[in-house]
Order: sequence, then structure tokens, then C-alpha cells
Amino acid sequence: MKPNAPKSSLRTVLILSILALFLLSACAPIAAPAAGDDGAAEMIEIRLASYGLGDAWNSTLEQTIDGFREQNPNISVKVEFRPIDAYWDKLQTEFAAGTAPDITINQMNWVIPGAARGMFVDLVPFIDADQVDMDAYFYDMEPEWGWQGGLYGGLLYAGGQALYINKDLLAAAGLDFPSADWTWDDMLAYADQLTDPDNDQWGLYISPLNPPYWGASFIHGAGGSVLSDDRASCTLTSPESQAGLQYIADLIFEHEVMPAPVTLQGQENPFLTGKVAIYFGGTWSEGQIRQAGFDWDFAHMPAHPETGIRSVQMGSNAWSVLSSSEHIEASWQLVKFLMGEGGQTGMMANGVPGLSAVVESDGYLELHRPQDISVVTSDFANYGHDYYPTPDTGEWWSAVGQELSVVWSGEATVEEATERACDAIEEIFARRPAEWAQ
Amino acid sequence: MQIIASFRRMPAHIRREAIEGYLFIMPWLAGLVVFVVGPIIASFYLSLTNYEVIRPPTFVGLQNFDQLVNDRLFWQALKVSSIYVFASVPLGLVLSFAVALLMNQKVRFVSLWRTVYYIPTLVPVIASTMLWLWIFNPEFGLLNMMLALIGIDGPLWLGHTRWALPSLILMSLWTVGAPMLIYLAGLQGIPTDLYEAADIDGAGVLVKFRNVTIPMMTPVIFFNLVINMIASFQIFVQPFIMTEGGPRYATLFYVLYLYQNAFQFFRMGYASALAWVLFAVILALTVVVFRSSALWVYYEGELRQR
Repeated sequence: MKPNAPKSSLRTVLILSILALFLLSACAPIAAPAAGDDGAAEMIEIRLASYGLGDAWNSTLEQTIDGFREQNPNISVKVEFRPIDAYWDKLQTEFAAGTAPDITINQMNWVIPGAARGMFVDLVPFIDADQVDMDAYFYDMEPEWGWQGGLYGGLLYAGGQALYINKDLLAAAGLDFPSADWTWDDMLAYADQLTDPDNDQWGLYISPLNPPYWGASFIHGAGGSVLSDDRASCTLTSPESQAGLQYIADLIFEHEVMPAPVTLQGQENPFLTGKVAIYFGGTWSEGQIRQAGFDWDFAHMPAHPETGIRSVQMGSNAWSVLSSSEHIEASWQLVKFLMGEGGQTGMMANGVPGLSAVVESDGYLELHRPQDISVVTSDFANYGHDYYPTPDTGEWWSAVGQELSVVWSGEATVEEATERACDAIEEIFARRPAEWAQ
Repeated sequence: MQIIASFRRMPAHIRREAIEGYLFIMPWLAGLVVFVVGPIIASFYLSLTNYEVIRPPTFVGLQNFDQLVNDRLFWQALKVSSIYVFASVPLGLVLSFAVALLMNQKVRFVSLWRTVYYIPTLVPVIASTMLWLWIFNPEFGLLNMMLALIGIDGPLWLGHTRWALPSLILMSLWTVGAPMLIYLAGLQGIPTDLYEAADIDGAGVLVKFRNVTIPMMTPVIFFNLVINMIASFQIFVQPFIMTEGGPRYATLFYVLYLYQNAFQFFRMGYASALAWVLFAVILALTVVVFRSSALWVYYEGELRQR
């Protein structure tokens, strides 16, 4: 058989492609008529997206939202649980495509980058209109989710750094539980006594380590900072900041009381396996630690022996309303409920609530017995420090992580690494548009 | 009109067959247009814009390409990916060829051995990546334990700027099973009469390998080279999970940097420019390999003038 001439077959392919496009466009959903927030009897449907954190967490959220559904029969809430991987990527593309949900869960490092680009709704006018008492929160949301006078997140959990102590290891070494006024020197002395290389046992462990995570609390303790107050320049090269990082490097290489992070690649958290006595972790690890099978408790953050400064890094989760929502008022009502007593009480088994009344309630404290969670929440209230949110958070965090990683492997000094980190940060900040000036 | 006319000239059963054929490829064609050709065209336009995904793109001309030249991380990413390709592809080709030769021997349980070598290819990349994290662990990892047995104090592997990239190159050899299988099919397709003729001429094993096996296998080597080169430039999951590009950018692979720009740094326009540069690099190298094939790839039935 004689083959078709190439020209005509190309044309056939093109015509068929266009046909195929028509067919596909026929599969697109038919746009629903836009429904406004007005009309009391009209049913409003809002979509809330969250990453799924396991059946228990998911059903707690559903049950908590049931409380809102009962109070607001004309608002139907559809909860969409999504995988945490690529959650943020997907949300960005949905927003661009106009198919984003009305409300989203937000990790600490997503709120300001999204807010600065118009992705989220400023909640301040709603808070003012509904006279929400922000003083009822022991936890200040403004430093974490505030941007140019607006507030772009409503509290889900107050989260951050927590200091866990393996009491069994302390008892075996004949050590008392650290007092509330202990210092870095005391901690080093403890770590020294608790390190036992023959049994693969370490005095302490810090994870995640790179600023703005827990390494930052040592920078602050030594009197330094990661960025300037206006978030416009890098301050890691100040002698104080470098001293804070040097303290951690010395824990690894000079005192040998902490495992180098690189030696733990692919390993389970060594605190969970009972190989570490003092663990700077996140509040989100509590559930896992509770199942680890040894006696433990929370300790207060140690103070720097000279500056007397204690610092706790915060990093919390928020609910944000998408600016693309057609039901911003109804969405705000749900966020208000979730950050209010109904939401904070409903979700309190899974994270630290931000309302003082809930955090101090017997019901909440009882959930954590025999451990004393008030140690963590009082440190949050007294010494909490934000994680330096900026619209370009992702980029400069990455640069700091890359440059400091070679300090923890012994390939670079703190001075070298901080110089390079600041150079990289300044380069990133130089690309900022004028409208981002704080 | 010409199409319809040529269609009309066709006998009825052939015409029906043609229509059915086009209908069958329609889903693929639609997918190609919507999910491949469309995004390719869109990414070219986006590479000329400042695009943060969540805000509409603004046209900036060649600014992104201009920035690329001065971006030290772009050069680092290009360097990392190039070293990886130029090391892992030849190593993988030689090793998989060697394994295929072994698997082509008449030994007991050869089917079992072939399966064993192919199995790693079937392990999901996430699972094998987690496994290799363990193997590379400097304290408890299998690799350093084995090195310790012969008195060598193993390196930090993924944790050291000098060793991280070689670690990933080493790990890439884990999946030689896929090219091995293609080589094996090629080896079994070599007509035995060529070997018999060589035997009659008194050729030894090495001479037969050099003058029969290798020339007959060049089309397969060529295929594996092109496919593996393109795939290696696009490696993403392993560094994304294992090293996040570190330590200190030692494993900042090109596609990882592209992804970070697109989805973590709000620089989709810049990421699109990165994608087009990668396309140009891969295209150029593929053209070079194709051009060079005239010199070293031999197809059966082909007549060559000496």
C-alpha cells in the first residue's frame, strides 16, 4: 500500500488534535452560577483544605468542625484532606487556576510568602468588626503571620521548640531533673555526664538544627540574631550570632556530647530509641515520644550563663482564607470558630492551643499528665521568638541551611559559613521589590 | 479538501481502518497536545516573564536568561548534573554491559540471576532511596562497615561536600538491571553463524568479542547511551529526598534547582528559563551523539565503504 504523503498526514494530525481539544473541552465542568453571601436561607458551601495527618487527627478536625456546622446550618463545610507532600505546590497552582479552596491550613513558612503576593485575606478588619479578643491568647500571632499591618493567619496550634528530658537516663546517671533556672553551662555538664560512647548514648541532640529552627534559639541566647529587626539584612556574622552557633559546633566536636547530624542520616530520632538524654525537638514530636516507652518530661529552656537570655523558637500552624474565595465572610466565620474556644478545645489533644483559658484548663493539662506541658507553654509565652517570616523565606532558609550544613560536618568554621550565608542572603534580598519594604 | 479527496479515493475497508486508527490514537493525541505540547509552548512564554504562579505573569523579555548567566547556583547546578551524567552514564553502560554478558552465559539458574539483577529496577525509587540512606550512613551504614573490615575509615558519604555526588553516582549503578535487559536482548539477537564463522577463522574469545559482539551491539549501546543520558540530566527524586541539594550545594542537581525556583522560591518564570536551557543542553548533546553514531554504530545489512 502506498503511504500517505507526509504533508497530508501532518494536516490530518493537526485537524485531529484540534478535534481532540474540542472533545476535552467538552469534558470540562460546567460553571456553577455564582452564589453570593447574601440571602439568609441560601446554602453556602465552603471548602477547607488540610493536609491529612492520620485518621485520628482527620476525624478530630471533622468532629471539631461539626460544632461549627451545628451553629451555622446554612454553611456547608467540605473538608479536603490532602497529602502533605506537594501540598503547598498544589495550592499555588490551584490558586492560579481559580480552583483553590476557601480556607487552607498553613505551615509557618507559607503564610507571609502567600500574603505578600495577595493570596490570603487580611483578617484584621474581620477581627475588629467581630471584636475578637486577641488578648485572650497567650500566644501572639502578629509576629508570625503579620505583614504590613495585616494579619493573614488565624491560629490552629501554637507550636515550636520543646525541651524533652529522658528521666530514666538521668536517674541512671544519678542526676536530678534540671531546675527551672539552669544555664547552658549546667546543660553541658549534664550532657557530659550523660554521654556514654561505649553504649552509643549521647548527652543531647538538637533537631531540626539550622536557623530559623532551634539553632536560632542559641543565637538569640548569646545575644545575636539571624536577621535585622526590619528583616532587611543578615546578622549572622555578628560576634554574638557566631558565638551561639559556635556553642552548638563545640557540643559536637569539642565536647563530643552531641552526634553530628550527618551521622544520623536515615536513622530514627535517637531520642525515641533512648539513645539521647536531652532533646531539643518540636512540640509536634510529643505524640511519638509518648509511645517511646521510657520516663520523660519537659524541661525549661536553659539560659545563657552571661547574657541570662532564654529563647524559644516558635513555628505554628494557621488557617488562612484564600483571597480567591467567593465566600470570604463565611470562611472567616469558620476560621473564627477554629481559633476560638470551640476549635481550640476540639483540637487540643493534637497540639498546643493558643487561648490562655484552654491552655490553663485542667482538661488540657490532664491530657499531658504525668508530664507538665505548662513548662512548654510558659516558655512560649515568656521567651518565644518568631522564625523571621519574610516573603522570600523559602529562598533564604535554603541558603542558610546549605551554608551551615558544612559546619555540622566539620568542613567549615562558623565564621566562614556565616560569611557565606550572609552573602547569599544579601543577594536574595537585593532582588526584593520595593513594595516589600516593612 | 485534499485529505477528504484522498480519503474518498481509498477503498471502503481501508478508509474505515484509517478512521478507526485515528480514533484509537485520539486519547493519546489529546494527551500529547494538552499535557505536553501545551505546557512546552506555555513554558517558553513564561520563560520571558516574571511569574510567581499566584500572580499573573509580567513580560520581562530576556531578563531571566540574563540573570542565569550571573547566577552562581545555576552554574553549580549545571556542573553537578554534568558531572553526574558524564560519570554515571558511561559507568552504568559498561557495568550493565558486563552484567548482560555474564547473564548471557549458559550457567545454572541463569533466569534466577537475571531476575535478581533486574529486581532493583522494580523497587520504587522512594524505597530504594531510603535504603541507600542507610547504606551510606557513616556510623552504622553497610558501606562503611564493609570498609572498616578491610581497615578503611570510610568517609561521611552524603554528608561531605567531596563525597556526596560520588555517592549518588555510585547509587545510580543500583539500577543497571534495566539497560542490562536491553543488552541481553541485543546479545541474544546476534546471529550465531557470525560466531561460527569466526570460530572457523580461528578467532579467540577476545577477538570475537571485539570484532563480532561489540559491533553487533553498537545500536543497543547507542540506544542506552541516549536514553540514559537524557534520564540522568533529569534526576530529581534522589537528591530531593536524600540531600536536598546539600551539603553546601554539592548535590544541587539541575532539576532540583529548577523545582525549588518554581515551587519554593516563587520564580516560575525563571524556572521556565532554566527548563529551556536544560532542553538546549540535552538537545545539543543528543545531536552530538546522533552525529557521532555514523562513526561507531553499525547496523546489520548496512554497507560501509572502507
